[in-house]
Amino acid sequence: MQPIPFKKHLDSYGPFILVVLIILVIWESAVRLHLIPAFILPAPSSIGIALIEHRQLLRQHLLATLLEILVGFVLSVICGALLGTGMFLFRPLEKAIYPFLIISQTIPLIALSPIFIMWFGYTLWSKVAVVFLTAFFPVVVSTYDGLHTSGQAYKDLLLTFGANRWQLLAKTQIPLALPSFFSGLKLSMVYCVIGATIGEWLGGSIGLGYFSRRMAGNMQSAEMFAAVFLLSALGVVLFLMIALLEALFLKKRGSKR
Amino acid sequence: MIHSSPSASTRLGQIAYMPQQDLLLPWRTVLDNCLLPWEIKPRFSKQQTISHIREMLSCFGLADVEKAYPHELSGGMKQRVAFLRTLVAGGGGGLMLLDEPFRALDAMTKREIHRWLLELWDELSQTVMLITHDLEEALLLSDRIYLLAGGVHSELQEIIVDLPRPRHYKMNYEPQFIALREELERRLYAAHTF
Repeated sequence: MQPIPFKKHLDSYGPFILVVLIILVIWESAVRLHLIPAFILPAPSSIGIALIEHRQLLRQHLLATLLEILVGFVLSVICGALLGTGMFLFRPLEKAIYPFLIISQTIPLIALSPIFIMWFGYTLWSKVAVVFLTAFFPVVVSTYDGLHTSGQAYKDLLLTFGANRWQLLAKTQIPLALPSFFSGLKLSMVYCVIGATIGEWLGGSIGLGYFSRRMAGNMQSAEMFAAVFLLSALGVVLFLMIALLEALFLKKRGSKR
Repeated sequence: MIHSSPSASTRLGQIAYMPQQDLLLPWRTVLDNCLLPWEIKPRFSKQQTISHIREMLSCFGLADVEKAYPHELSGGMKQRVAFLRTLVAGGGGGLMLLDEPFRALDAMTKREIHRWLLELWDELSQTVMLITHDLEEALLLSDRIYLLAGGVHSELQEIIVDLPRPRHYKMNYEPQFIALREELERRLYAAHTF
């Protein structure tokens, strides 16, 4: 692979970075000039200082949140992919399960989370349950829809070769479903971060969501914003990792992009 | 059609079928695309099949693109790869069904493919059924033409093409060819009432 020239980077990220810088400057000066009190909106510089000052504590909470996200995500992907494939292969299963899937998404999570805490206690698993419930739906739908994208034409061709149902799945339907599947994974990954934060807000003793809530209670806005910043950064990094994985998997398909 | 006849299930995997689009899998190389029929119904060992495919690739003028992906090939090359894959699926002997295989190609590429097919034709020693709307293609490639002039319900008309073999792509300028073409066109339009 050739290194991408600097100018191209500037073209794609320049406008975004410029806007970020402008916002930071306005924000910082608004707080410094006492237009906004610091406990309502802390200056970016004090958020940065809080990040450095509490780095030990923040890292501990970050790792706890990361663990919840990863466990929830892996469970969502395994169950979601299996269920999506199962629904594709057996229509009765699809008819029986699909309504439940939709219903599971209409339940307000905030209302359900106290129940999870009663079921699983203040452990890792009550957060994993919330993460799972938010993250698993996009995986099922993207798997199911992706498998449907393989046209009748490929199916007919493979049938003339004498292919059975599993060969159809392995040779054409799964490879053709991958782009849609990865879109679902990216969506699901972002939902995981939100799910973990909600789970920690509602009950817990560790994690960035819990930390930000405690700091908000103490009016320590800079620390709270630092935790929020870390959560958001975590979501971006995890999203980019899935995007990288996607690029590696789909690298050979020059017909796209 | 595949699902209609009761004995259809036993025929699947026996007949080599080439559809209108090339239907090459975009994430597989040329060689891997040609291996697909083998992966589904292995008849010989993998080594045997690969060396057989390599032989055919060089005979088809595709030896250099063995590791290329379909999007890197021209339309004519893709169609040749699809044809090769059909041959691998047929496994020799058997019946080949070509359903308007060259319809998607432009006129120049189509001529080129005809020329190339004629050179190859006699070595194939297979029964080939070709569906086409192209009169010259029909005359140039076939020994017998069954005319479906007035739609599905009309009677089949058989025309014997008694042009000598091996054929040459320039034959379409010979008087015998032109006479046959005229005859074919006359019969085709006789069925239509304008």
